[in-house]
Amino acid sequence: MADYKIKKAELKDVLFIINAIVEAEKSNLGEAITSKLFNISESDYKLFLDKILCEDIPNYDLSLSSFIIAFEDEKPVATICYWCEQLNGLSSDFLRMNAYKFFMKPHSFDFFIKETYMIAKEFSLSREPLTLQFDSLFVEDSYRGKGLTKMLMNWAIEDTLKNNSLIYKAQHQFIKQNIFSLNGQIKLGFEIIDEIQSTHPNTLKYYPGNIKVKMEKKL
Amino acid sequence: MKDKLLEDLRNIFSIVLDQKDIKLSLSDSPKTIENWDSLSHSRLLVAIEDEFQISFKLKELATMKTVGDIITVLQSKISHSEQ
Repeated sequence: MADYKIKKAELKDVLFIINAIVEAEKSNLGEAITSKLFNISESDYKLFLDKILCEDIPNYDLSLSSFIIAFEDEKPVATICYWCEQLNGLSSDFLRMNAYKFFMKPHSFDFFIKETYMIAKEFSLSREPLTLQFDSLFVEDSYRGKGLTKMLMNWAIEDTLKNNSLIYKAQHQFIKQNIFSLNGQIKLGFEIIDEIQSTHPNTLKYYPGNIKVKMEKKL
Repeated sequence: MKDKLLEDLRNIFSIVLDQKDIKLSLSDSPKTIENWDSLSHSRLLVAIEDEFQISFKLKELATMKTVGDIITVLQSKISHSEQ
């Protein structure tokens, strides 16, 4: 088995993380969700991610310090984002909205508020306070099936338990139609604890599927 | 000054959240105020910036978990602008 090293993401890794977020949002099924929700091109979305990741506000999914990367030699091949929900009191939803308000262009933010916010809100599952949250899982195509997801998640769980004695479960939300992720998470001991099926007629214009699942694993 | 800011915020919250008789205390947060969700939060911030002619920094926004936190940031920005 190849020798992989896992490290916290640093500024030099931003480009890899940006591409990973975009690919994870595509869920192997389409375009990046956020670029569609804000009616912006993928390149504009990547510019937004570059700005917000460099701000590094902790404890949500748009923070550089929330990411760890698996390297083969010096090459980044997989990543995952993890954080403790509401560890500092503010929910990741609020932190993300702050980021959108601050760095999205006004006309894109207005489009989101007027056209797609309600679709996104109705298609959301809550994130439980003081749980380990996973997001933006990405493994390079040629490195799939090599145990990298398990390695990354175990590293994140160990790091979380070392620093936060209050955390006792991990959760991961994604589009259920992403069978690759669903089967992978079941193999790693996650169980579906909640799911939502959107009935909004325009959901599939913006999302690569209309069922979202929340999976959980006791730590 | 804190009482005046709390009253100013009460007026802003009342308009943005459409709750005429809203009561606000320093410890109030999205957990205790009805309809204070992520969308109304962004509208509240815009209304506060307009009212006080200030611009929040992103790092400041991340510290605003309660009404008291908002007032702390506001006090700091107002005192800086007066210097």
